[in-house]
Amino acid sequence: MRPYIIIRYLGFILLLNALFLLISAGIALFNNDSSFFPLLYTGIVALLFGIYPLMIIPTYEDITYSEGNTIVISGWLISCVIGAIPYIIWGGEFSITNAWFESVSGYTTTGASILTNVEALPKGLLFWRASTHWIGGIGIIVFVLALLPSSNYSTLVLYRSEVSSVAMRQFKMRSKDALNIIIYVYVGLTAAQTILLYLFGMNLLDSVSHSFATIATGGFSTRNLSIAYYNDIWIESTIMIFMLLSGMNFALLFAVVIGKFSSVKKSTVLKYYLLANLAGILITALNVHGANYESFWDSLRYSSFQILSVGTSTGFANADSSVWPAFSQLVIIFFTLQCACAGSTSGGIKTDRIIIFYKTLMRNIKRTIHPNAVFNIYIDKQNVDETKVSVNNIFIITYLIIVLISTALLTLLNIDLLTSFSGTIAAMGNVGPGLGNVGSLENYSGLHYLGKWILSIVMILGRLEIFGIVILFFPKAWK
Amino acid sequence: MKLKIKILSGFIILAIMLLIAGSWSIYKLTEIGNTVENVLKENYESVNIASKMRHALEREDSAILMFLLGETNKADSIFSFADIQFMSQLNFAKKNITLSNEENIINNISVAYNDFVVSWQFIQSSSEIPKTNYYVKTLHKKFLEVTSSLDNLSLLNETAMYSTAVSIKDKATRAIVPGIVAIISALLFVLMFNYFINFFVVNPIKEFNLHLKRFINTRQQFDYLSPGKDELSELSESIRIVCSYVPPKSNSRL
Repeated sequence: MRPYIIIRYLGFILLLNALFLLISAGIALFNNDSSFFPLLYTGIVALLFGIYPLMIIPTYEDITYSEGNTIVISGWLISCVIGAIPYIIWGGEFSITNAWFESVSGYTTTGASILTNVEALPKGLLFWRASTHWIGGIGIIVFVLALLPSSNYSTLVLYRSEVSSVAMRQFKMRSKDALNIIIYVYVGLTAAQTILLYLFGMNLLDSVSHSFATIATGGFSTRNLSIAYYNDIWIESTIMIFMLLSGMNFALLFAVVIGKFSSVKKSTVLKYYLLANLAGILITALNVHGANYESFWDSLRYSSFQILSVGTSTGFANADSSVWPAFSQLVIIFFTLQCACAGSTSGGIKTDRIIIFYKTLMRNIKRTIHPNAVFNIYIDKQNVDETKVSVNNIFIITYLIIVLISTALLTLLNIDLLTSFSGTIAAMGNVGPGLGNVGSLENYSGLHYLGKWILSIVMILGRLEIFGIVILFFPKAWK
Repeated sequence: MKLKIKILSGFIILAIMLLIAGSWSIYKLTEIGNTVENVLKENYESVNIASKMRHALEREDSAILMFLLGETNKADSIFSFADIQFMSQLNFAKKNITLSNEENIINNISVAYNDFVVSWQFIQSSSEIPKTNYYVKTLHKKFLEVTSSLDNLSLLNETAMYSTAVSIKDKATRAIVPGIVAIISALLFVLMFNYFINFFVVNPIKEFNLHLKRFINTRQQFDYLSPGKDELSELSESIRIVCSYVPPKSNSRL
């Protein structure tokens, strides 16, 4: 492994962060708020650290896959470190642990906050907090690659290291073209939502911040009561539509934009995603009707927002779901584990893997009946390679094992089981709110500091889809 | 990029990082110094004034008790002296209003003290009322009202001092953190800089030397390529050209 190549690409990542830090500092300066220096200073440090390797190290195009993987993981880690610095310098509720947690939660688009009073933050820092979502939403490396005029080979290596393996099935084009599609859809959705939210009465900063958080499926709000603060059906509907869109595979969204509806019509994953969410909304609405809300309209309004919010791993709230009946909470837990489609900005196990897992299960039942028959797994009439099926199922098992270990560690810190379990799956799936003490209108400030460190590791594992980060612990990967 | 610029830019970047962090820390420490000065000047002074007024008021109360015991002349002179002291401190307090509710409290002190003095003048001039009874029922209550207002003034300023101290603590943290960040950043940058110098300067020189020695001993083609596009790569290119003109070892004196 050649460290200088990794340092060079980290330079690009730092420059991307510096750009958003300096924009945030500009907003702080415009509003004359106290976050100006923390943002400016961190921006300058990131800029200097980013620019120097680019000045010194010449361009290398022959990146190996282990180097690509290291660039991606160290890129995420270094971004989380840089992202925490403005919080630490600014002070307030941010201790080192809290700042790290908030930064990791931002970049991994988890949206779990330690802040008890979000509205006390200055505008510059609120924008920076939302920016971490937007940078992390499509992946830091994807963002950098889309901006960089790098060779096809290095782009391919880094793209494969960053983008989920199950997502690539939908992107049947050159990696540079796939990156362009992702960027177009991402920026387009963000711009469209910002305009709509602004038209429905949000101020510009709130519109941009909530759009960043929605399209990145993050969930950081600029208000203590999240979306419940606005109590506006138009704002909620807009956010719901964009949450649903952000949970879809971006290649499919792009196909719709350019008028290719055939790929959308035959997409099993998309059909399952939409039907699962619809079913989840309806059964939750029926369950909370009478128990929490008098009218069915209210039940439908709150359940649809909450289910879509966790089902796309966004994490906004317009109601307190921790007081809902146990069955509704179980539905929320299911969607927190599953989340949305691969190739979107969503976290969690993802619907694609759930379908493959389901088909493997059905195949095993068929094999029990017909032991000598050969059954292949097909999705959208395409055969899914046996290695991918195996990796898929191992991923789900490893995912659940990590959830189990993290829950056990949190309970050792005297955190109740519901909070530990729901907090872990919310962190692992990059959803944000859980149940119990970390419910949709609560926050993570009350957790033990070790609990915050455990959950931040879980967030990174979830965002980098486990294996990439685990590989780094094997010395052979360093050769 | 030339070696000179590579090295110089490294030092410049390091200097910029330290300069910004240092300037910020100095700015924040100066701000803390100014805040401390303001606390001493404004809040502590008000607490001190309240204490002096209370002391003067207690002297006046003692003078009233002496008056009740029949020491009228002595009581009158002590009260007059204490009154001058009280009024002079009250005037200081009126000029040192720094907090939002402070003006109201000082007005309350002024009104309560005025009532107290009027009552004192009444007890002095009236010969018909039972003086001890009047003191217990009226004059002492007026005295307590003044002390209560003085306590409010002290409390207001002490609370302001406490909250300022808390904000100073926060400011001190904010002044320290950029310093810590600068130290860590500088250390990391020095490590990175050292790595680059090794990789792009020291190692190429070693390799260059190795290739040159090999050429001298064996006449094996000088084919060294420097990793960067700098003076070292230009030098290696020149040496390669020179070496290509050198005849095979048997015919050479090298």
